[in-house]
Amino acid sequence: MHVVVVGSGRVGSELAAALELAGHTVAVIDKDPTSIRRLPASFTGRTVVGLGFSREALAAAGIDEAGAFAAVTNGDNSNILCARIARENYGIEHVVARIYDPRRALIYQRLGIPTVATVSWTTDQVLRRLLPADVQHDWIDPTGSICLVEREIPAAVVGRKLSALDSPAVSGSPR
Amino acid sequence: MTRFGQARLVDNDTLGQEGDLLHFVAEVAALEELRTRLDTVEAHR
Repeated sequence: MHVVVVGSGRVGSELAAALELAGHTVAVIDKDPTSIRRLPASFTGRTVVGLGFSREALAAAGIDEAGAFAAVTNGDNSNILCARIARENYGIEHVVARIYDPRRALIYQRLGIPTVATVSWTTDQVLRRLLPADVQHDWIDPTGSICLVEREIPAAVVGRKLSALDSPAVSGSPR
Repeated sequence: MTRFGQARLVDNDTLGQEGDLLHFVAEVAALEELRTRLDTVEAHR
């Protein structure tokens, strides 16, 4: 699959290298020619100096043949704009935008643009390591209504049917 | 659940084993109820 990556910072360059290692063709767009130098020497994909929402830059990156698109610059607005253009103008199915602002990330996620909310994710990971007992949930859907919770099996249920946990009557009884 | 590093779906007859990791899907509004239920199970050992 051909993948277009906008942004050649630490994330963009590592992402591009990982994609290439996985056998995909990759084109990287960055407005700063010096950022392109972050790509490993072994990188054989296309590099384009320009804006990720520019028609010319996207064409040079092979957007018409792309099956996936990642916008990982350090600007939320740029990433969202690039992601929307890739999705809406070029019909790319797999589009992801990195968003720093947690509130905006949530809004765009709800609008159907997959986002990686860097600040939220980092905060969550640090909290999990600082206060593991206080973790409320492991995953929550973008609307905030359904969550996934991980828990070690309660000792009282070892050797018993796990369906016992479904019933308050059983789960509240002594073993 | 995850058992010995392998994910699997639980059915009505699955028996719990030491070391199992359980993954619950819940409504956020019911999260406290779930925690209470699990704590109650633990408290009644």
